[in-house]
Amino acid sequence: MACKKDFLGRDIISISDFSREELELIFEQTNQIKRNPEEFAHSLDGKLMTSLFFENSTRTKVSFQFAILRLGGQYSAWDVTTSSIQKGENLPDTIKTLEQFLPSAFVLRHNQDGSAQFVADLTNVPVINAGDGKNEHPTQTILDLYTIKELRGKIDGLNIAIAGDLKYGRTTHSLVSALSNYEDCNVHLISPEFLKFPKELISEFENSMKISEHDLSEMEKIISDCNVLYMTRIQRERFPEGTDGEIEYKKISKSYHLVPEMLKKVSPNFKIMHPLPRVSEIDSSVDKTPYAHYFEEAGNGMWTRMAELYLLLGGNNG
Amino acid sequence: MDNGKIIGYIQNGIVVDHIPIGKIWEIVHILGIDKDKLNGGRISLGEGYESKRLDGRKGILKVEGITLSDLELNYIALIAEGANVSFIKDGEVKEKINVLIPSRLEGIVACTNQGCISKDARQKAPSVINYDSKTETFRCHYCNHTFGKNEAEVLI
Repeated sequence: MACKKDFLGRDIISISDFSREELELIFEQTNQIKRNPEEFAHSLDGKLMTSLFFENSTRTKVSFQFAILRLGGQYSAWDVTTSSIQKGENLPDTIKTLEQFLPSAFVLRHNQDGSAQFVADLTNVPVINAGDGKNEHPTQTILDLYTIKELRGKIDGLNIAIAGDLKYGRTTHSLVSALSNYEDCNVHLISPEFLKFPKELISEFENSMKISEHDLSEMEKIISDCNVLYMTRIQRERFPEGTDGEIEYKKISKSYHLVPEMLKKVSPNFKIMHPLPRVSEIDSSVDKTPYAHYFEEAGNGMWTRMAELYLLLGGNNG
Repeated sequence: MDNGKIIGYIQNGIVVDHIPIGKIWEIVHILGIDKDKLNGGRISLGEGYESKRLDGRKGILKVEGITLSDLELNYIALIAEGANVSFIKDGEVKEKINVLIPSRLEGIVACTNQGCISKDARQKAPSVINYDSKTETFRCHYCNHTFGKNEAEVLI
């Protein structure tokens, strides 16, 4: 049975580090904070989170900053563009230096796969992986799962469609991995042929859930039986350079474009999620439908990250 | 005469038996056995001996005057998992080891993911690879990238 003290001083590197019980405990903590945020307003007084973002980020970086501030703590944002990284300093030297300033936690986003685990090996300060290359983005997955649970009251047995770039998209890999903790989920993977979900990952998870693969043209039909559609963007850089690549990208973008007309057969409680930012895959007219839930999902990023910081840093609300 | 004895007698040294065909030269190379290391000692390499275990033919390597570290045993395991290594002293087998790939390899196998932090020499991240003997796959400690035995790049 998971308990709060198990989280104290821990790192968050991979979603697979968490058992179902531990995920449920984070969700319960999130519920408590979300219902009564004022009760937690001083629970991390004196704690100082250091954020190290080697790549651009808006939602993740800002939601972590809001999260620590709303718990009474403070943050220091290491500006990579003006730091000694630009002078050629490597990651271990940066971490060992910052460690001397006694931070309570590192929140790291880095372009290299495995960088979060590497940093966690170097320091005793808790490390939160805010995205390491194309590897993992566990706090995104926690907020995605929390959002699904909040919407449906459960995760077991749900019909979930996941669409977009399923080959390179780290959020979709982590989401499927996390869903393997739950029972009887039915996962529909929708993507262009060349951006299909990696076969080795399907083999890894197909014993824990029902997985089926579909072409983008089937999306409207598939989502009519689903509880949730989780969309991700398809990036231009995944296509070959030059005119042929541009033509193919435009063709895919046109066919991967959700409009309200495609939602006529969905169930009343159906919801659309997206880790954001979107490009052209969800038409802005969908925002006004009762199915759009991506902005509320982004909002949950702050609440779940508050719960994670609270648990890792030994929050005390009286 | 097909029992390995024909390729030479060892008084003090090592014998590596049950080497898959074609792998003996890789073992000689990875152990760095050359004229200097042998220092006038005897080396015998034999290939094509009958082997029931390897379902066909095997190789045998005998080297006089050397011993092997744990690291070198791991190297042999990566090339010829299941081979037997015997340590010979005064003409007798003092210890016989069936070499297996350990569950954790540090600084021995490189991650095959080019985007992994361990591939960036500037970061000085030592290679750490976990091995699952059931699936015979390697998994990088940092980036979780998995790869098979045939893809493994051994670091020397």
